[in-house]
Amino acid sequence: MSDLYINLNQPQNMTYDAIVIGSGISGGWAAKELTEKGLKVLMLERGGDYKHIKDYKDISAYDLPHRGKVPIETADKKQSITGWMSMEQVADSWVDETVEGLYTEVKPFKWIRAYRLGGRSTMWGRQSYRWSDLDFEANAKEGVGVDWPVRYKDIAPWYDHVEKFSGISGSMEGLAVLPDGQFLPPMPLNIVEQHVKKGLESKFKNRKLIIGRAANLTAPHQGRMNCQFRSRCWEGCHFGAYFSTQSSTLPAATATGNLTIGVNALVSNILYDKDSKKATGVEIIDTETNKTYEYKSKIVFVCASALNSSWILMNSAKDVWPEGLGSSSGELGHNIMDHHYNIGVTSTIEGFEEYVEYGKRPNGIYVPRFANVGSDKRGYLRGFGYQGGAARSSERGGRTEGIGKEYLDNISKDGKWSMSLWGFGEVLPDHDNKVTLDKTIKDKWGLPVLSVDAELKANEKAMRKDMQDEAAAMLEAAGAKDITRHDGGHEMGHGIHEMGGARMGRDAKTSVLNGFNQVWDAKNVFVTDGAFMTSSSCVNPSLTYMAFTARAVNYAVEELKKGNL
Amino acid sequence: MNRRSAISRVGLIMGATIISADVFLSCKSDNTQKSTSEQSNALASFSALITEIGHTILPATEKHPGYKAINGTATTIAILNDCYKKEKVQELVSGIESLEASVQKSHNKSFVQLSDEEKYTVLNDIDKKYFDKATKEADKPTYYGTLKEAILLTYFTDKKVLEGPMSYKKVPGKYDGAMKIEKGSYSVIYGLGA
Repeated sequence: MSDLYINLNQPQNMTYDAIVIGSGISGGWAAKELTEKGLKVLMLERGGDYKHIKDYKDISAYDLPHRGKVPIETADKKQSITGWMSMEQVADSWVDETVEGLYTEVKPFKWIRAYRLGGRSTMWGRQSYRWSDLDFEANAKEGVGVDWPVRYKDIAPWYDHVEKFSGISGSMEGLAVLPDGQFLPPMPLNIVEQHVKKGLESKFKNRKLIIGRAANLTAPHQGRMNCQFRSRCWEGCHFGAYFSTQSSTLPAATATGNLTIGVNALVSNILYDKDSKKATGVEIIDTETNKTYEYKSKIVFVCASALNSSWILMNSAKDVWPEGLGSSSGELGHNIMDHHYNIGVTSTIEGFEEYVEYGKRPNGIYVPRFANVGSDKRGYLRGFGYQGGAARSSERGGRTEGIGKEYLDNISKDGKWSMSLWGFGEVLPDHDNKVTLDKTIKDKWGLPVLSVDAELKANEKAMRKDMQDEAAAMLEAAGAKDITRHDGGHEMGHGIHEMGGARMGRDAKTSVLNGFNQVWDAKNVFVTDGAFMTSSSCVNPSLTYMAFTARAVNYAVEELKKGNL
Repeated sequence: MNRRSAISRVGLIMGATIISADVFLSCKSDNTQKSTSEQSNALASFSALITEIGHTILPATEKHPGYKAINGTATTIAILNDCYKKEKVQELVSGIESLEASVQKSHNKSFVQLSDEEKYTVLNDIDKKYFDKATKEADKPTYYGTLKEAILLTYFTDKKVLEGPMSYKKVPGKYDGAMKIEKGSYSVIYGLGA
């Protein structure tokens, strides 16, 4: 293990078979698949080390000086984070947006990042859904953006492959819009969710309420322990019970003996040779010493997260293309997407007060998309799904009237059951939603920062009204009371599902990547994080990144063997 | 660098974990405010008063140790001082000062010198006024709401309280979505939530 990490200051081996930029969900998968196929791999992470178990927190609320609230000083440096992300126990996981994570906004954009080994695989929501052909065919059918060069049958075996390893708990439902997968046993719905499911499904024949499909283990799997229902995944899981680079792909890659890791290694650009029309490696900045080094490889996997991968490409091969590697189509940095949410309905469900939940389930319910499915037609394109769930409410936040002994006794008990549904809507790819290099502002290493210019357009806005109305109608059907509508508005990026910037397509004139995530302009460079997404669907994207990464590695290694790269 | 003008505080669900509305009130400022911790701790001088307010809102009961017994005032003050913007802390200072002044006027002594019954009456009036929807926004004792929330947060995240009446389970080990309980049972607290 001691030689797992490279010493950037005493570089010796500068040449590898493959370099993987980034160590998040996509980078971890690329490293695992490449090393298991026998390639010598260097995985580069711009952030610091974050060791499995050793670096995780093992605290209780009383160990926190502000009991979970975040000091203003911290919050001011991390203005993108809100809600659960900004709690004291996890706030240190996110990048300082005023220094290492500096960026500029043309329109409000939340860019939420974890710059450390494992990236956002350590901080993700773990919801894992397959796409269907409803998603892959939508662009072509509706004349939006460009057609996906991939259909469900191409990616289905790779969904199988990544699910079997990652461990996804979920229920088999036989739904065309949300294909079943290789599931571990589902987590149970609680008693009130079962009640709501009954009411909702009897009124709406084409709708389902199911338990979320989550990358949390419900049984021991691949040497990892099953979930202990603490719901503290984001502080690091000592049981390795949810999928992360640290718990899953990194141990597998390390076991091959073929992996080397470089932390504090910020890739500033991909080295491109215009004679061979291929990448020869990468240039990095050691963020601790500010020295630069070059590492060489036969292939490069770019998995730095959608916007940062676009940024790296924009900074590369500028002598050939002023706008960067992959820019010949004019689409590099364009078609930025997210999932729009922060809209939904909360309610009270009467009764069931003799029941509580034991344990904290790190997962909720899911209502798969029904809008614009089959004979359902709406005044906008695409659709949305819902996440949410039922839980006993609490008055221990101090937001209800009362003081004294009786009050203290009352608030120590569980309140009524509440049930919520929150919409997650598809965002259409739009050329005008883009990232560019900021012309004026440079970061602490003198590199140009990214400028983000993206917003919700008319289709998403039209969909939002429906997302709220349908949620209210479904809860009403389930007999809910005090139905309260919420719309906190959606700034792009807030879904932490940023996608696009280097989309896949069927020809080099209109896309950055081909159907195997291969940069049209440099065939030994593969981009397999959210940047490749040609459209966004409405389901959480990470499982799809895993599947495309594994598929791209398989293709790359075959091509390498054939001498084509 | 201030890029943001507003943040949403609507409860939201990422990865579908349900978190009670309380935790969403992160104390993030709407604009770049210097933390008051850089200044002298404006609330420290009210320590005894805050203890008595906490004691009156959350007194000891048969099951509960009560606010005074947990020695939580320093934590309450740290929360208020570090996590709220300067204006909010100043509002607290003048709110507590006005409470003290009005008690001096009505009882001719300090709030801390009142009997428990008197303290209850004074605070109960303020609590009612704060939660009464008929109270005009300008007349609302906003400082009191802030203070009450911080006192409850301190209390329900305290080790003695969590491990005592609230049967804290750090590692539940399993999930049951329909566990029967006796009427009147207290909540079981898991994870970091209050």
